[in-house]
Amino acid sequence: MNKIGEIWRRLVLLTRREQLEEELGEEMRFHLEMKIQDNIEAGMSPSQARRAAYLQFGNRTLAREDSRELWGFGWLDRLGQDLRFGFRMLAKSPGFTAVAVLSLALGIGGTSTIFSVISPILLRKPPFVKDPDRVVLISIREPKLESGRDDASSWDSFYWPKASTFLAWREHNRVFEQMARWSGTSMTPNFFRLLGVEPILGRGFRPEDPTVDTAGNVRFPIVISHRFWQRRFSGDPNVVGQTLRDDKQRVMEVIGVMPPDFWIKPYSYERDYWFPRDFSSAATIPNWQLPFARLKPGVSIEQARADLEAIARPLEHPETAPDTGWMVEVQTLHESINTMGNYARPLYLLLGAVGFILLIGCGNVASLLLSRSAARYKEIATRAALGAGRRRLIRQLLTESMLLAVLGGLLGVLLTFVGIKLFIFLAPNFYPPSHEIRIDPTVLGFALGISMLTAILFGLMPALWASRLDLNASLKEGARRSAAPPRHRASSVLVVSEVALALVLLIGAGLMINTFVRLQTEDLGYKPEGLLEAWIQLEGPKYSKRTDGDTTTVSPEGSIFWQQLLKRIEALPGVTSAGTSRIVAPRPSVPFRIIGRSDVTMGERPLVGYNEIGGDYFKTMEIPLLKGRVFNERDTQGSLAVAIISETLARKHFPDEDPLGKVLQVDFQAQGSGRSRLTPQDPAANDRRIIQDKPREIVGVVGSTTDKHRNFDRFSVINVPYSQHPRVYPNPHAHTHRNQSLFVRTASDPAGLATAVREAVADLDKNLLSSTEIETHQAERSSQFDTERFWVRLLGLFAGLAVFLAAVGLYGVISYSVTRRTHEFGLRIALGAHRTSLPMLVLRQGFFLSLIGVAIGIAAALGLTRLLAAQLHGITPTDPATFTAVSLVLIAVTMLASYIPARRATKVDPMVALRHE
Amino acid sequence: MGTKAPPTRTEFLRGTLDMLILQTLTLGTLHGYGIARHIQHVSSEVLQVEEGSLYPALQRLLVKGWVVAEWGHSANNRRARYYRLTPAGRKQLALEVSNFERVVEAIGQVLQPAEG
Repeated sequence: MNKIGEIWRRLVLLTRREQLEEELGEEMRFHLEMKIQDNIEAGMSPSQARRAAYLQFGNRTLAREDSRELWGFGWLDRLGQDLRFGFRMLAKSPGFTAVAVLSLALGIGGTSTIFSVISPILLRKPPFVKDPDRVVLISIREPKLESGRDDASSWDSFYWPKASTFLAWREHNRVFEQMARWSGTSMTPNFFRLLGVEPILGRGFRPEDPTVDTAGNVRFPIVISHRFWQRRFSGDPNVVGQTLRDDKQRVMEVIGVMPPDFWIKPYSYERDYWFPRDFSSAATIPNWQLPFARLKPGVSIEQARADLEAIARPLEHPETAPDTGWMVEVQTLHESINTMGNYARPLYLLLGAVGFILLIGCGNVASLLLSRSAARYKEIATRAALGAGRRRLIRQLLTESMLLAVLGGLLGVLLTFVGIKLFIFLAPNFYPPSHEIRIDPTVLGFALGISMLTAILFGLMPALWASRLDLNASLKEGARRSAAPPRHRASSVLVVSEVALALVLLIGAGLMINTFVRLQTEDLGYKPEGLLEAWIQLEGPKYSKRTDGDTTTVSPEGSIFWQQLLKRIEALPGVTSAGTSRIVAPRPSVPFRIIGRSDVTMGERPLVGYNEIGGDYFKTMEIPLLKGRVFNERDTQGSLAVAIISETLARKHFPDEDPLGKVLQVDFQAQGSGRSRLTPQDPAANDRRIIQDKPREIVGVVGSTTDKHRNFDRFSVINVPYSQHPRVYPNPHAHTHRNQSLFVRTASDPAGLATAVREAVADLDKNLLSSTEIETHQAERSSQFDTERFWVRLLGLFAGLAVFLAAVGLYGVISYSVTRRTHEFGLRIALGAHRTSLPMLVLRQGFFLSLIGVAIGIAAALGLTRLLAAQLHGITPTDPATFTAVSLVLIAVTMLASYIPARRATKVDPMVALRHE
Repeated sequence: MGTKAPPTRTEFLRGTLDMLILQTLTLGTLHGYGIARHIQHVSSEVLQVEEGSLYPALQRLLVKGWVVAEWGHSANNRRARYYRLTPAGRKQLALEVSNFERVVEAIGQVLQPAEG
């Protein structure tokens, strides 16, 4: 009670400072006057009276100060005082302040930006999933194929289990509560339930709901996303029961709305709605659907793996290749997101890079504070001599350092906001989507903590000396160098480490830039400039029909369409030539054999890329014809079946003979693109699933083509005329025929022709327009380099920052050293040293430091750039040219940083420098 | 910078000075000079207090709420600040006096044998 009253009175007093001062003064004056009067009355002379009064009163200033302390809250007052003083000190050396604050801010801002971006991926478990540790994804993994199989080294080493295996698991497993498959928009009806997430409105799917692929089904239910609900239905609470139509005019009835944070990324980008799919039989389960399961409580991943493998062993066996030792892989959803998306590794790299910046920033602040403390050595000594207690001094210095750290921290937080925006700008297609990126408070706190600690630790150094210093000696000889603070080995070590760290980042950036340039200028085997590309899918029964479960029969309509389209395009003004192909550089995916050579089993046949081409394709792409002829209109279904092979194939399989006139034959397999070599044991089924193409005579050899997606590998390719296509394909291969890219070479800007091409397509078949995409080939290609561009930009940015900070650090140290040696320089000049020789002394020191830093940096980089290997192209992670060039650049920058303070050495006035003696 | 006087002296004086002021004010409302004069007078000039230190002490008592101050006019018609004891101050005085007496008694007991 009393305490509260006291605080209240203090607060009141606090508001009336000036009045109180005045009143106190008046009161004291009154006292003294009364005293003087009394003294005079007691018989003293006026001057005597005055003297006695003042003597008796004592130290008026002290009395005032003691009173003042009572009015306020002592420590608060002193803090205010320290802060004001601190601000004055910082403002007095704006360069120092700016660099220190900026160093801290960049470190803090950078680290928390990157961490904020990646923490949703690395740390957060899917927020909506119940018991996320029990939700698993199942895949089948196998060692990479032997390179004996042609060009297969770059294949993925995992795939999703076959439908039949999935069904067997679902039936026989003893480890899961339930299993589901999902991909994109379609899922088994139980998928939401498996995740443990309920719609916030309406209901989820039930097994009895009609599915999208039920034969003749014209109506099926959908569950919509929260965003779609807001966007399309404006959050209408009565949305359940409303209907939409899909592109096939089927009715989609909304039965539920998912919660706003529902998320299945990065397996799928944002979807508007989901629908159920029939997964009851192997025939209807598409292979690309991801198999998920929920573990029974207490079942370990390893138990689940063993159980699944026991069931799958007799089912998933290789049909075309020897058993290479495949195994079932079970991963938690969270874990799988990291490995699947391959996100984690590069992001850890980024985090490491930005961690370097934080370290350099802290090192900078530390060395700056150390250097500056030297300049304040005398000031501290003077303060101590004037009676400032050690504690008071420490508090003062601490306040200053804290002030720096807080300013740096605030700016760092600000930079985090900007940094996240910048990141989104630099990496627009990066996962996670921008709206999921939030500032991560833990990391922000961590970075703030580290930088505060640095500032405090090194800010206190001068106070610690002060407490050790011999006051008398330092004041008497204060100006003398003999009393100068110790040389800081510490700050040299700091600067060396900064240079080393900066070099590692710079080398990383150098390697990426090198890679980027190499990628852009890589020879592709064709000329990518000046091409317009239209990707067209021949959809609908007009062009092809499923013959039975496994095969598709194509109609001649496709050939007719392409012929007519090419004719129209070639007639367009500005078009030099036009042609079609499935893809520029097809992957080896179909086994082939050369007729007349001893045959091997299907599994041992080499694989080739298969491409159907039309029009003046090779001329349009400027792919050189090396031998023989190109296709022409006389190559029809009725004429001799022909093929044009790529140079790679010719070299590999006809090294010593003329390939022209030789005959080859490819086989199409039902079970996909060769990725899965697994089919049921039933040999009859095998036969049905393999379709032999007719034997084809080689009539030409063309240059091999490649692109970035193929890692610039040049594959063996068999090109066949579109007009000589097979009639029946196993299902997956029908795409080869139905979907083609139209390439148009133009004399002028290809983009200008897009509208005309679109009109031509619409004229021939309006239905195709919705699935047609037109873009210049350059634009398409440019997007292939997004990842590299992202790396170049970010590492470049980081390296730039790091070099800047390290240079500033070096500047600080050299500058300090010049100050420390002023006396020595003065002496040297007085003794006849040439002025121009002095900067060399300083430069030598800078050069020495940066050389050590570079040496350490190179050693570190040799170990660390390995981590970048996956992002590199055409150079090794220890590329000597990059290492050398980057080291030279860094040395040059550091020399510049030491030259600026070194110049000061020439300006030393020997008289001024020596006068202190 | 607010460096304080050596603590040993201050601590002792502060306590006693507060008590002396409070005791003095039991007589009635007085200004600072009046308080100083009175203390000197009754202690027969034994207690040599630096008169200046009276004022921080008065500020302290004000903050504690043991005295209140009011501006008025002195006998020779000068503006002066008059201090008055509050009930809380009276209670505090009683407390301090009894503490003081206990200390004095204790010191007395320690000193007696030596004297006797």
